[in-house]
Amino acid sequence: MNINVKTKHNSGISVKAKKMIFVYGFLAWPILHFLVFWVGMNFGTFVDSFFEYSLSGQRRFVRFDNYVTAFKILLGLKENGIANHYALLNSLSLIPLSLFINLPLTLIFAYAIYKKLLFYRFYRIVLFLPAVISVVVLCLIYRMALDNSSGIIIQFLRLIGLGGDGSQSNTGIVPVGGFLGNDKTVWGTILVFSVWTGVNGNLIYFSSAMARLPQSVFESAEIDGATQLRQFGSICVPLIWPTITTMSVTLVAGVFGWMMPSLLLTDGASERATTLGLMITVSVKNDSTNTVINAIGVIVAVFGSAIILTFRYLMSKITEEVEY
Amino acid sequence: MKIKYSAGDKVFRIVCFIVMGVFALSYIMILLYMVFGSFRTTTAFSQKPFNFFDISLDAIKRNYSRAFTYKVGGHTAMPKMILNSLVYVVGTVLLSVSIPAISGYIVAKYDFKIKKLITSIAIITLVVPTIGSVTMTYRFMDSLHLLNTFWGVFLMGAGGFGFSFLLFKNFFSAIPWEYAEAAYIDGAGDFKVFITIMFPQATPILLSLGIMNFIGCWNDYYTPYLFLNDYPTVAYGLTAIRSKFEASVPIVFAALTFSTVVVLILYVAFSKTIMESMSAGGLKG
Repeated sequence: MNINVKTKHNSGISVKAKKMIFVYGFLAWPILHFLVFWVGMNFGTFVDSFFEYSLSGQRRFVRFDNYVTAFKILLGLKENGIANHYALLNSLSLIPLSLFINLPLTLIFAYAIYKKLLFYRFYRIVLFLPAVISVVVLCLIYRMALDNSSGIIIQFLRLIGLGGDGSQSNTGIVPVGGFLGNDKTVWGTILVFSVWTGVNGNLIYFSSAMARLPQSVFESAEIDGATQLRQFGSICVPLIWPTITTMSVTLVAGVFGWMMPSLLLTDGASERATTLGLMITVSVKNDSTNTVINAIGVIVAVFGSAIILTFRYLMSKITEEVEY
Repeated sequence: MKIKYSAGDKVFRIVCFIVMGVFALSYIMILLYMVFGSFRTTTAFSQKPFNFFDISLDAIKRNYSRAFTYKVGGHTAMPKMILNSLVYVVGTVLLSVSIPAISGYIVAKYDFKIKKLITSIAIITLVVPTIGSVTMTYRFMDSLHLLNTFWGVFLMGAGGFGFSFLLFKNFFSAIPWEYAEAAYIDGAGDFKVFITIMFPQATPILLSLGIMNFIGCWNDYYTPYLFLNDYPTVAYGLTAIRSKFEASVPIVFAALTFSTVVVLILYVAFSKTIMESMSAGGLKG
């Protein structure tokens, strides 16, 4: 039950004033923080995207020049190292991967745990491990396991005859330069890593949403002969749809800043494994006055928001929210 | 009572069991590969890659002492990185949990003019991809001389809206208001009601969010990479250790093992609390 500061506690203006002081006093800092670090930084990014900086730090108005350059980079008409069209392509390719592989797998895993699959307690703890272990640790192990000379996966492939003999002329299914060192396989290898470590992040939220579902609905369905798979599709998914929507939206929003595996598995040096997040972050490290990156940031924010909001709208239209 | 499964259910459960088993086993195997790898000599590791249990006490001493004494950037060894991590983690966790807790509480329990606006702001911060503003943030922190300072990263992490805010808002919305009303009748003020009545009820979710944020900050690479170069944390230092000891994988594994053990202990100790308290909070956006 909410307190209506206008009507409850009717002991006069002082009570109302005290409540207002409490409400706005404690919200003042979060609002100020939002205004400075969200509104201010994004507005500053937008303004700066119309300027360029000279070596002496002088700012010059360049109209839409940065946007022209940004679009050329994103569309592959002008490329410079990891600032190339693969950044956009790779980032967008993460959306179907997240929505159609990672998310459904996580959902099914959470449901199997909810339905007390054999060893479900073990699975609940172990499957959440990649969300607990540092992405740095996971990336470094993955990278070392795929190392062309001492990596355990490469050694295993050689042991079973699929890894060639380690020479340049006979590499078996291992590409020249290794999976992470070859332009043709590097992004695919990163996507495999993304699925391997990404099916679990939302497990805890789906599990908790399912734990709140009314058991009686499932019991009635069981009496009516519905299989567990049917219960999953007809009861579980519709009832937790708001949670699925929220987690899907955060996944889609996350792809625009996604960069860590690309940075750590390739040292941020592979032109084929670049992403929008990586391109922007590395640019900040190299030259924080490069305002073309601001223009790319604005484009990402505008198009990204449009994609996310459209997606959120479509998700909300799929099924009605059910109170239980 | 023994449950009878239909043929379809049996297939579903078997397939789930196998797929989940493959994922679970792969996680356990890489952990064992890392831990036992850190117990081996570099020679044994490279010459006999599948002889996992070829471990020695000398190798353990050597690998861990090298990992702990190597100075990242020529100035920061592992003990100092642990201290840096702890300062970063404790400061950030305290702010990133307590501020959303009170803002979530206020929005959940009070009616005021900008209530809906604040909820919308929280959703907007999650929805709009603002990776592009990192350039401006970097320069802003630099202009305030807060780049490469703990105060700078604390300031950036001290926001009151976002994911934690939504969790707290949903949690407090579900908490009954009767105790608070009784306290008001007894003359308690709003802050006292929050601190003495509502805040203690949120202990489980505070604890679990605190632990999850602790783990997240301990593992965070991005913030130290961009904003805290002079104070390398453990997660940041791992990549420098890998670069230095690229040819001596067991030493790298020793550093990785140490970093992982810290969060695993926390996770195993509090996994039940985390799972249960998240069930109480829930998430809708």
